[in-house]
Amino acid sequence: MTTNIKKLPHGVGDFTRGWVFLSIALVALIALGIYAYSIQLTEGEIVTGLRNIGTMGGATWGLYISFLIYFIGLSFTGISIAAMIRLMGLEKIKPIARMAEALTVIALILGALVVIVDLGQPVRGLVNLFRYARPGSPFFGTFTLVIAGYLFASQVYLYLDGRKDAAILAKIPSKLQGFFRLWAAGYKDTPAEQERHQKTSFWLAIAIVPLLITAHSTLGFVFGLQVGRPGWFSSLQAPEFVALAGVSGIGFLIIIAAILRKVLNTEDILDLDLFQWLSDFLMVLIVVYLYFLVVEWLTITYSSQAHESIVANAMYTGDYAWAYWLTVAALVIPLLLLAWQFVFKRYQLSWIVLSGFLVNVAAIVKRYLIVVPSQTHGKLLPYDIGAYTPTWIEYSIILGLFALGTLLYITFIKIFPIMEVPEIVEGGE
Amino acid sequence: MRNIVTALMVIFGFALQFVSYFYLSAPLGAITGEASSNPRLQFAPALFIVGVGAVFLAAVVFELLPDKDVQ
Repeated sequence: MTTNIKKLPHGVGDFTRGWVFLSIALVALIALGIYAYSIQLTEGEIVTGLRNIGTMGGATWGLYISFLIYFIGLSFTGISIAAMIRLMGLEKIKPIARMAEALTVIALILGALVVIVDLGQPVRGLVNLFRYARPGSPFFGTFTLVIAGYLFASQVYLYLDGRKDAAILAKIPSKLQGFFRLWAAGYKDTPAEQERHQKTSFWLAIAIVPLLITAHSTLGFVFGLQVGRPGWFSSLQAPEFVALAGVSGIGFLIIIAAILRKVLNTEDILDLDLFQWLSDFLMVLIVVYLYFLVVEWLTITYSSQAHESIVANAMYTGDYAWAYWLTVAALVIPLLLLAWQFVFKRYQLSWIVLSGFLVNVAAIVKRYLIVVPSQTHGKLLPYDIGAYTPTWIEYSIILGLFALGTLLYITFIKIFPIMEVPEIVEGGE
Repeated sequence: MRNIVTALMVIFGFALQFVSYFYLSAPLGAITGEASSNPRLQFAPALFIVGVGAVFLAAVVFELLPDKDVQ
């Protein structure tokens, strides 16, 4: 491993004025989120739109849990992309591997935080989950596999995958030299080390893929195993969660890759071929998810029980119809855009990015539809139809979490190369 | 040495997961009373997480443990 780079690549260590302004704006949004959370913590969840199901005519899970599923869904990309590169030899998408891994880690952190936010008594909730959680409960799986195992495994993958680049950058005099040296931990890129890393990455990919599927399925089981909640009890929940996680995760990754392509001037690395691959992959995932939506629709409309019908009607033609049809539109439009490009082989970055954005809108709204209508309209006991409207507290906290995620991401980009540092031989640039 | 330590960590991790899931947590199946509701050892779920962590940490150990000639 030889290098004579004089400047850190991909904008690392270059804290531009734009970056500073963006960071200040994000910190302001985080402060707003913290302020809103402090009100919720001191006054209780009465300041939110959350209310008891039935007796108070509301929903106990709302925006927070919808975004928990969304954030965990976003985490799908990192490890799946990394595993595809490793197990299927997809070198074409290698430039986005680290972007995806960072997205996974940050999305999982946000997922963990939003669970804590949803708990009225966060400390009690956290301690008791570690103390009493029943292995048969999907919450056990969510906490052990998603938050702990999946997050830890992703961090291990990100760390080991970055050692080689850290070793290269540790040779360049900079303020971050000590940090890179620490990350590299003595890595010298010897043939033995390379072989060892290949072996570790392969086995990590093998170990993480089942964990990834289990993690997303477990989250689906949180809803799918609830017999007494019309609209939730379904064996399709788990695979549906996995499919929608893929859709939103790949869509979000497309947006990030497009932004970084522009900001870091890396059109040569993040070329159209790469986006073409992501576009086709996203198209296939949308088709899979739409299949689930159609199956769900056919099952409910053909022979559902009375209680199921109430929830279904609320979604298809009632109070939540706007959200349901917005979801369908935000999936069908990208599908048409991507399919048109696929058929005529005319790929346009702007259409691909728009598709990535729309599927994320669909993913957020669909998560809201998964969580809320079954609580306000799906009751086996004779309670009136309920309603749920989030308050500014909930919106501010979610906005704060998004800002935190963005701040973590843009900070990571400034302290570590978001793309692999190319091999540079002595005398090169 | 490297292989032995890694293998031991992986075995320990999986064993801890197995034991904490099947023998230390609350029994699987329907809840029939206090004994079947509470974990047999408090913080058994935390031990399960330690087990998951140990398996993945083995990868770090495998890569970071210095070679003999370096030692």
